[in-house]
Amino acid sequence: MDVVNGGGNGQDGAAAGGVAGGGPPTWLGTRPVEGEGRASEALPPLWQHLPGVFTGTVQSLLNWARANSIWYMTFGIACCAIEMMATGGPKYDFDRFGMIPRGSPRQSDLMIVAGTVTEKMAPRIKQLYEQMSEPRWVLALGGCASNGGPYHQGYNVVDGVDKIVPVDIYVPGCPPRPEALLHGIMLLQEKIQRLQASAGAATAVGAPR
Amino acid sequence: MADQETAAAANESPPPPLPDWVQQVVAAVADGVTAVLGVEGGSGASDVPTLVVAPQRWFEVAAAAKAQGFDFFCDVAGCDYPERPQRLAIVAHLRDLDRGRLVRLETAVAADGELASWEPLFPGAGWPEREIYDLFGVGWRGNADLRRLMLPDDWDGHPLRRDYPLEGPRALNPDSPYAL
Repeated sequence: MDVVNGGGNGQDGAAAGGVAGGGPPTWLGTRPVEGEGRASEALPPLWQHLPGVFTGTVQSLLNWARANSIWYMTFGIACCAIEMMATGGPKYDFDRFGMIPRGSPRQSDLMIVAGTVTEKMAPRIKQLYEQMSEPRWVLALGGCASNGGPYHQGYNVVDGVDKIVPVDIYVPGCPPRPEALLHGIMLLQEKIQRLQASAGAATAVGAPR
Repeated sequence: MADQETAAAANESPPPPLPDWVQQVVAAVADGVTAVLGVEGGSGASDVPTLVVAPQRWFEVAAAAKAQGFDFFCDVAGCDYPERPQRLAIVAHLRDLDRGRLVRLETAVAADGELASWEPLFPGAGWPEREIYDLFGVGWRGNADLRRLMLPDDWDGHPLRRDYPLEGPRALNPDSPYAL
């Protein structure tokens, strides 16, 4: 099963590791024996892949890294925040997406607007969004953040956070279950994977208000 | 005791005396309590012992109740009755944690009315009073920080009044920066 860079790299590894005449160090695994063992044991050992070469554009690598380390701002302004907390907790586990909550907008990539946006809160949200470094994304969690939801006619409710900041993903629900938020995050990951070099500017433009 | 039994037998029972703490409060603030509801000997029924307070004596009655052991401030809230001349009703609850007692204080003021703040008695009353000021427009004399609490500082009107337009502030002021 010497598939990728098999023998040559084995020799290189042995030389670099100073293992004279023998196989690779045991912690790197051993060469499979033809026709023995389970299928997984027949896979090439890790050491054969270590010197492997990635090819791709810088943009795709950046997108890959960004999509898998979305740090989100802890920004719960109503009951949807409970669902966001549940999603961040061990049962639904944001961490497997590389997502961890940050307490500062300057370290955050994503603002999850989790709740009703009131007129008094709106300038604060806009300020926090402007303090985030680019590229930055906004996810409107729930009906209130999407379009006002049940408070659509409220005298003090902004009908959707997209009246203040540009929104990338809308997650409906009242409140959305954690699965819905995870779906929204996966859609955001797809969106990030599609980013082109000039696309950062698109997320930087604030909506008129 | 014997007098009461004979009076009851004659079906001419005089109203029983007010509870001691009510008597003390009434004695402390002579013109402060206009009615007593929900206690034996009171003038009306209520689910909770209730003192109807003259608005100009709002602070003094609370101080007298606090002196009677009601030293835990529960809440103060407002309600709008547009058909009444004193349209803004203010309701507060005080609790006596040692004896397990609850008392309700009620008053009412006109639309541009003012009340004395309870903040010197109960520091926790400051923010509920700000909320009532914000949403109902009741002024509080002696509140150290009487600003709007829920709404932006440049808001028009007091939205929990019944005649406030449901559509929002732009129905009052077309130039309002806030959304319809």
